This record gives sequence, structure tokens and C-alpha cells, in this order.
Amino acid sequence: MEGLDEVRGRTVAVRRAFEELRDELGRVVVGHEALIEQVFVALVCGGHCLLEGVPGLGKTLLVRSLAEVLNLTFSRIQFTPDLMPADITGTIVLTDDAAGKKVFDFQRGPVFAHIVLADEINRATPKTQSALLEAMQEQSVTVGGRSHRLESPFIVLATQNPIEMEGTYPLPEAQIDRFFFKLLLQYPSREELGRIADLTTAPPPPPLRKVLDAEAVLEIRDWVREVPIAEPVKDYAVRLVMASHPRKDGRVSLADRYVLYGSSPRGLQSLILAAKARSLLTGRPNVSFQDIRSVMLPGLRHRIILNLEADAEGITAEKVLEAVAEGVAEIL
Amino acid sequence: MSEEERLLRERFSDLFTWQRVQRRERIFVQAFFFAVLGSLVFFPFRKTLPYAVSPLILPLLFCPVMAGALFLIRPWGTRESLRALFDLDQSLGLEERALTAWDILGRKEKRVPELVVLAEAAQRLQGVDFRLLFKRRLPWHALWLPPLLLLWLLFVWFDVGVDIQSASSQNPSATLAQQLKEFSQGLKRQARSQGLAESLKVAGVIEDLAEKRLRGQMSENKLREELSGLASRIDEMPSDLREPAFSFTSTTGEKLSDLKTELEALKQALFLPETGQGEKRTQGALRGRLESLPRLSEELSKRRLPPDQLSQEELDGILGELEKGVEAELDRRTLKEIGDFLRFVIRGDGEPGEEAGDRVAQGGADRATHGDRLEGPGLLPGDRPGKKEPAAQAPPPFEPGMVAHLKGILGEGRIESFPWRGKPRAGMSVVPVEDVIVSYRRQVEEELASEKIPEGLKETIKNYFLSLGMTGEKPE
Repeated sequence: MEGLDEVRGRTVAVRRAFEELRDELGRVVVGHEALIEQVFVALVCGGHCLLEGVPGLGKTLLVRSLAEVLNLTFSRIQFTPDLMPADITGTIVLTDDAAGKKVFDFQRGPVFAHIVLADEINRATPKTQSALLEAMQEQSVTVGGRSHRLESPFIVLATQNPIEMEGTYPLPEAQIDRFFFKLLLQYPSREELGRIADLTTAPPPPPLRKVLDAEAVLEIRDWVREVPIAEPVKDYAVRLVMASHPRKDGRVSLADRYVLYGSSPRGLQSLILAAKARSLLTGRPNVSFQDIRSVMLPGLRHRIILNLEADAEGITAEKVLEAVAEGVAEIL
Repeated sequence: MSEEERLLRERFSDLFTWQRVQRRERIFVQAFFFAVLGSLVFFPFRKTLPYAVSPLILPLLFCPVMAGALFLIRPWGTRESLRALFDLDQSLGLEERALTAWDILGRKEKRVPELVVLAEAAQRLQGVDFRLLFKRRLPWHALWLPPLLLLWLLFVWFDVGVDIQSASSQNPSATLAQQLKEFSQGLKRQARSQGLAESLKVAGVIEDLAEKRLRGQMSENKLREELSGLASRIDEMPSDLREPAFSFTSTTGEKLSDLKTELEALKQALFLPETGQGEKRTQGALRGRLESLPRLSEELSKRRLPPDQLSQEELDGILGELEKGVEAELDRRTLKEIGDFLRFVIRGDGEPGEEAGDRVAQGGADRATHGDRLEGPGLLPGDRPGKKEPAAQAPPPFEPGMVAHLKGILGEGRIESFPWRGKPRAGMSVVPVEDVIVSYRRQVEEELASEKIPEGLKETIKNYFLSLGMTGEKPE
């Protein structure tokens, strides 16, 4: 059957493309294999990522390299307290047209790129944060009464510094919920540090090869949504989300004790969509329980609001989610 | 339907069939395990069982109930199918291909990516032998079943004395009819064995009344009224019944029982069982036999009837009259006790199962013949010659239908019993009398050899049993 071969072919093609992308990025980015996969999953799912990590871990390098390999445009916005919404979205300026007449022209802001790195998003005021978050949600900006469509694919990688919280404006929970994934950047290991030193103190490597382009990414986005998921697997994801809530059926004791609010329905959407993308990246035609489990932490950790008791006892969302994963059986 | 779909349906069907078989086996093992466990728990309440039901078959009764309950509680459903598919995916590392394929098979329309899953699953499952993949595994119950079963058999075999007062005895009004029925059955047995005609009739009437009440054809009050009427009729029975040719009104029940036993023994000795023609022994042998029957000799001498001065015919006549007199007296006493028992039951205070039963039991033991003898004063020796302990004079409570002790209990000697349940068969005994006599002789010799038999009584006991023709040889 022709259709079957096509589907098999594209599954294989996605897997190979992702392997190539990983290899290519591996030339300049040391470690962060899981992070690369998760960012790519978010990209092919049409989601945005919140990156959390101390400065100097290679966030900008990772995002810039990703844009380069994917042949996508990239922009970086350093968020500061005096950053205005117009500095992100763009502004209308008075300029001369071809005939020399004065006209108002819309100058596009840095948000008009495929990949936007919003560095230290919590340093800007809520007003400015909202402008970016609106752009993320709507994939368009409205300036001077006119709506401007953003590039597609469009992904925002916003970073947060977990230290130096003075003078910052933490994102409200409702805004955080709009991020598809929250990814944590880990400090590199001893071997990785050695390789980083080698890479950065030697002559620059040859330019990265372009593996995919915007059109291919959009095509993969469509394929992701076609990956079949069995009802019991979907039910497992639902039960995981339900178990993250206190005082709900199928809850686990840790969630019951330390969680104030569990995951929103967006968390379930993230879980299933990301699991589908992951299965495609591994060349499998269906979603497995392991797919759900492997995207559970990045997909749900920022959607769980812990209570003061958890804060006092040092219980993190990751610990609660691990308990949830252990407490929920695949098949009832 | 595509080739992959057909193949997958077949494969899943094979898988579910095999898993169902295994599950059924596990459930039966579990059911039997719980049945044996339940039987052990139920063991102390075994007296509540109907008379005809042996405790031995309790696990067999419980097992179908347990199995039915387990099948009802956990029927094979979607959950079990999913579990089987999940296990299959885990075993073969299919990463939920089988599960997804099974889910897709149930969808009406299938998209191309779904067909890819079906094709991959079919390819992986082709040729998989599920019987090899999922080998038969018995639950932990199977390990515990043999020791539990053994324990149960030991309980039943040794009839371990774990008893909890049955619910029936705690609710007298609810089980009055049942108790009356059991009482009447015991009474019937006793009346038949002792030839008590009137008591047998009354027992039949009581049993009929109890049956009617048990079938719901009679109310509780009506039953009590009938019983009251019956008790009155017993009191008004003709006096000739109570006053036979030989009067034994002053004779104790114990002596009466012994006399009856000796009369029967003498009858047996006089008439050869195999001829049935009433061939009589010689006069000398008869008199010799009479000398070894102390109660009978005493009774004859009390009535100034020395056996050596009587002709054969006179002796036969006197013995016949004596037997009639003993039977009539026993009948009279039994009727009186029945009347007392009925009045006690009608009053409905206290617990008839215990108190009234005890009263009848006393009479029952007093009148016990050699077939029903349990433990009592009678001719049995105590610890010391001529002295009986109060405990020995109080026989165990008479409970119709309870386990009967075939072997007699002699003093404080070693007690052996063989529990036996079942209704007595009508007609001739299936055990030849010679075998019974030989068995009795062996037991008596053992007891005689033991030091617990007082020396002075050994000879008397030996003579008594010899008088029963216990030589082990067939009578001439």
C-alpha cells in the first residue's frame, strides 16, 4: 500500500533528521542531549520553553546553534526592568517613503523571528512580559491597531535565573502555564567541562550543516498530531495529571500533602503531544507509556503549585511528580 | 479486513484464550484454598450442620461457592484484556504496539498511521507461542493449599475439640422444632432398641409435630399447644401400662438396665442365632449361666424363685414375665420423662437444649442398654471397689444425633472413640455378632489386664462377660 510506505518513510526520515541534528549540535554544544531533544520536541509541537539555569551554561549557544542547524531566524532579547513592550514587538516610526513623503512605518521588533531567546524574562516588568506572552499565545502582535503575523514556526525560549531574585518580577502562574515545557539546565560534568574547554579554546569549528528548514519543521508538526495513541495510554496520561492534584481520585500521598494546585488541562495536552513527538523522533509509529513518563517532568513541573509546607520541607515539584509516576499504574 | 487485521485478531484471540485458561486455573486454586480455610474457620460451628452432612465434605461444599463468588467479583473484562496485552508488550518489548493495535482494531475508520501500527504489530506477533511466552504460574495459594488441606483432614480425623456453642442453642424458640425432632429421633432409637412400644409411638407423634413446624405448616403457639396436649395424654395413659405383673417401681434405673441386659444375654445364650429354631441348651448349662448373671439371680432370689428348683418351662415363663415387666417399667419411666421434658419445653424458660436434655440424658443413661451404653455407674468399676465418685455417677449429657461412642468407657481407663455420624440402618446388623463379641472380649481383656481395674472386681467382670458367651467359639 502506497500510504503505508509513505508513513513509514516519513517516520524514518524524522528519526534520521533528529539524529543528524543531535550530531550536528553535538559538535558545538557539549552535553545537554536531553535538553536538545526536549527543545526540538517543543518546536515540533508548536510550544515554547522556559529554561532555568545559572548563567554561563550555554543557553544562548544552544539556541543559536539550533536556529542555525534548522535554518531558522534567531533573535535574542535581554530582558531588563526598563524594557518596554514596543522594544519586543516593534514600533511605528515616522519615515520617508520612496517618493520622499513622510509616512508611518512599522518597524518589526526582535519577536519577529523563528526562534526568540528571551533572556532573563523575569527581570522585565509584567507589562513587557505580557507583551511577549501574548505574542507567544497568539503568534501575532498588534501595534497601532494593526495585527502582524509572526514567523512560523515560532518558538520562544525564555530563561530564568534561579538565583539573584532581587528586583525581579516572577512570572504569574497563569503565564507560566503557557509554556509547553520547563527545562532545567544542569551544570556540566567533569568530562563535559573538559570538552567545553577544548572546544572553546581551539580554532572555531566549521560552520554547522543545515539539517532541516522551516517548511520541514512545519511538516513534522503535522505528522506529530497524526501519531496514534491507544486509549489506555491516553488514560494513563490523564490519571497522571489527576494524581498531581490534592484530594482527587487516584492521588498519591505526597501530592495530597504538598500540592496546592495540580496540573492544568494544558499539562495533559503537553504530555500527549510531546509523547507523540517523542515517539516519532524514536521512529516508532505509536505512543508508549515510556514516552508519557519521559515528558512528564518537563511538561508538568511548572504547572504544579506547591504549598508552604512543601517549601518548608524542601519538597520540589520534581519529587512530587516522581512519586506520582511511581504511584500511578499503567493499566488499572 | 486486511491480512494484518485478520492475523492480529487471531493472535489476540489466542492470547486471551490462554490467559483465560490460566486465570480460571488460578481462581479454582484460590477458591479451593479459601474453601479449606473457610472450613477450618467453620470447624467450631460444625454442630450447626444438618445431621446428614459430614464436616469432611465442607471444602467441597464451599469450593463451588467460592469459585462462583470469585468469578462474579472478577469476571474477565476489558481490564483483563488490557492487562494481557500490557504483559505481552512488556515481554516482547513491543513498546505498546500490541496495545495500540488492539485499540485501533476496535475503531471503525483507520487512518494510514494507524495501519502502520497494525502492520508492525502483526509482523512482531506472527509466530509467537503464547503458551511458551506466558508459562503456567500458580498463585501463592497453591503452595499453602496442601498443608492447609492436611491440617483440615487432621482436624476432621481427630475431631479436634474446638466447639463454640451453636446458634441453635442460643435461640431456643427458633430451634424448638429442630430440637424436638432430634429428641424424637434419639428417643425412637432408644425405644426400638429396648422394645418400648408406647414410647416409640409417642416419639413418632413428637417427630410428626416437629416436622410440621419445620415445614411451616404449624405455628409456634400451635406446636406448644399440641405438645401440652400430648403431655396431658401421657399422664392419662392407662394404669395397666404402668403396673405390669412384676413390679419394679422401687428398682433403680441402673438396676433395671442391668437386668434388661442380663435378660437379653440369657436369651441370646438360650437360643442359637444360626438355627433360629429355639433349640435349647441343657438344664445344667442354663443354671450355670444364671449364676454368672448377678442382677437376674438377685431378682429371682428376691422373688423366692430358686432356679435350681424350677423346671425349664417354668423358668422360661418367669424370664418372659420378668422381661415384660422390665420393659413396661422402662416404658413407663420413659413416658414420664418425656412428659416432664415436654412440659419443660412448653414453658420455654431457660434453655431446653441443656437443662431438659440433661434431665432426659440422666434417664437415658440409666436405661442404657449394651448398644447405647456411654458412661455410667451400672456394672462398670470405678477407682475403688464399691465406691463411685460423683463425677462418675453423672453421665455426659444425652444429645440425640451426637457422635456415638461404639466402644464403652471403663472407669478412667484409656478412652478410645470412633466418631460416626449417620442414621441407623433398618433391619439386621451388618456386623456379625461373633465379631462384636470377640472385639468386646479383646477390649475387656485389655482393661482387665490394666492396673486400674480393682483386683476384687476383676473376677466379677470376667464372669459377666463370659456369661455373654465370649469364649470366641461359636455356641454349640
